[in-house]
Amino acid sequence: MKNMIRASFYKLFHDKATWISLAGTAVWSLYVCVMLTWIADGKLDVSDAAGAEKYWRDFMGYHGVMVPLLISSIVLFTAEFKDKSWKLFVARGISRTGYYFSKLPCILTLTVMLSFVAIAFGAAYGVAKLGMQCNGVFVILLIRYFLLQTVAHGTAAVLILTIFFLIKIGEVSSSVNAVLLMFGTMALSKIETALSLGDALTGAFAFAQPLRVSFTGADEWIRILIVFVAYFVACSLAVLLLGVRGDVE
Amino acid sequence: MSNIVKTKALTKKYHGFAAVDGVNMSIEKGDIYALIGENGAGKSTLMKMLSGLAAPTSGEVVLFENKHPEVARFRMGCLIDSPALDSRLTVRDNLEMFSRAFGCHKEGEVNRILKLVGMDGNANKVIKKTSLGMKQRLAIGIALLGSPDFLILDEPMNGLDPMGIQEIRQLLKKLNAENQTTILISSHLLDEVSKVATRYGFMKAGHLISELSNEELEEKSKTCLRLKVSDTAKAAMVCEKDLGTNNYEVMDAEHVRLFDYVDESAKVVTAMVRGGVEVGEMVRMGESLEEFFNNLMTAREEQ
Repeated sequence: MKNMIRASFYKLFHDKATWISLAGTAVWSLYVCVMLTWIADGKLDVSDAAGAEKYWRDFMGYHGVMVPLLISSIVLFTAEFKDKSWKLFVARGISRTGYYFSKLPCILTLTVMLSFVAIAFGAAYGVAKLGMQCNGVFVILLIRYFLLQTVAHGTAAVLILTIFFLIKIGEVSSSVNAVLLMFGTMALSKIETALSLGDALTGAFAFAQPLRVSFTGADEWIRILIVFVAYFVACSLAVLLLGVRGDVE
Repeated sequence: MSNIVKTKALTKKYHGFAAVDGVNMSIEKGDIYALIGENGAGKSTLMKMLSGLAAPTSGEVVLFENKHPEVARFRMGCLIDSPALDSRLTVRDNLEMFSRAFGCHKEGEVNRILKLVGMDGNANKVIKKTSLGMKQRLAIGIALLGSPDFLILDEPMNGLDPMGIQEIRQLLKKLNAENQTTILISSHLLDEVSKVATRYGFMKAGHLISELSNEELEEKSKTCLRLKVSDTAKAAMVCEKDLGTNNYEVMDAEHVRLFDYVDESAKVVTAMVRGGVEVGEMVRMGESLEEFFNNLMTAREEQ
């Protein structure tokens, strides 16, 4: 499996999709920062400035990482099923579970890189425009936020990879499924709010987690880590039980 | 000689339909084994089972005399169906990635393969922008990564131009001669296959209906006149004295095969009669691989 991990990382860093998604996150974060600056400076005519600011901040934290992660994962991780190149690994004696577990560090690394870019822009904006002091407390908060975001998005990444691996579908169907999953969870979240259910429906959904990340106490850490570990274990079990069956087409 | 592949009653069924049915085959070290059959005969399915891409419904596959084929597959290189490549990476990146995955990444390995399959001039081309022939060459190159002991090549000549076919043929012969690489190859280009193969397996409707060595096939393919004669000793004398040839074979008490004068049957009959030999029957024999294959398929259908 060590060799397969090396091969997966080689592909990650040599595929244009990785760098395009990072650039996409950077452009998106920059756009959000510009919007926030315009709201703060009164250049953007909005009736509820505080609400608008919150809306764009959510966009920064959620879509800035989640959308490029989804798109790049689809491009990077479903192509081997579409091109059927993954069968070459199996034909050389690499197990299917070995194939899946070698892709996990890759997708998690991609998540770390995307989260880093998004948060770096957010931090730069905070210091430059909101007058935040770049002191020790700020750095600690920033690192904590970065780690929370990464673990939360990592949970979603594990789920995305597992879906792709189990269904082994092409790019178009993967995109449709992933977008349906993302918007479906968002819709569920709205229903929860409307019915005052808290997060009873989406509490376990990784896709909903990034929206709930905040700078508040340690309980947030525990919750996000539990969700990550639960997803990791559940997805691994699903792959071990279902992913090794059938012929390689 | 050691067995590289041995299958026992290997069967693969799809929804009750047997794509491969009870195949017993063995491939020995150093063989270039050509699998020949019509579309849907089960060649690709058999190759998929050998390479671990399809699980047998019943039967057994033993590779390198090892009962755990998944371990032995590290010594195999495969090209099954169409070339399976990462279409967004370059030719070189594909080789770099697969060489890492196969655990054979070392200095110069990728360049060696590029040169071997004649792709050194196109190393930086993105796969999307390459022709089918180039893809096929690269797929063969990937199969050759790490110098495997056993190659499975399903229709490797597909999409190649005549020059490419010749190069790949030479390459396979060279690998077989220099490294003792065992090769299992399937192709619809029977003439091409006959130029490299040392053994043949003929498949029809999931069954392996016949296995022949190159010598056996050559023997069958040799054109000759088979004569049923009253006296084989006299017939032999006529061949040597009257027809002036030693190129004949006494098969049994009644039959002689004459490998000369194949297109001069009247001359042969006249000589035999003059020599006091009665000719009861004379048949022109011998077939090309294509004729042999067609006759075999027809005979099987008639059964």
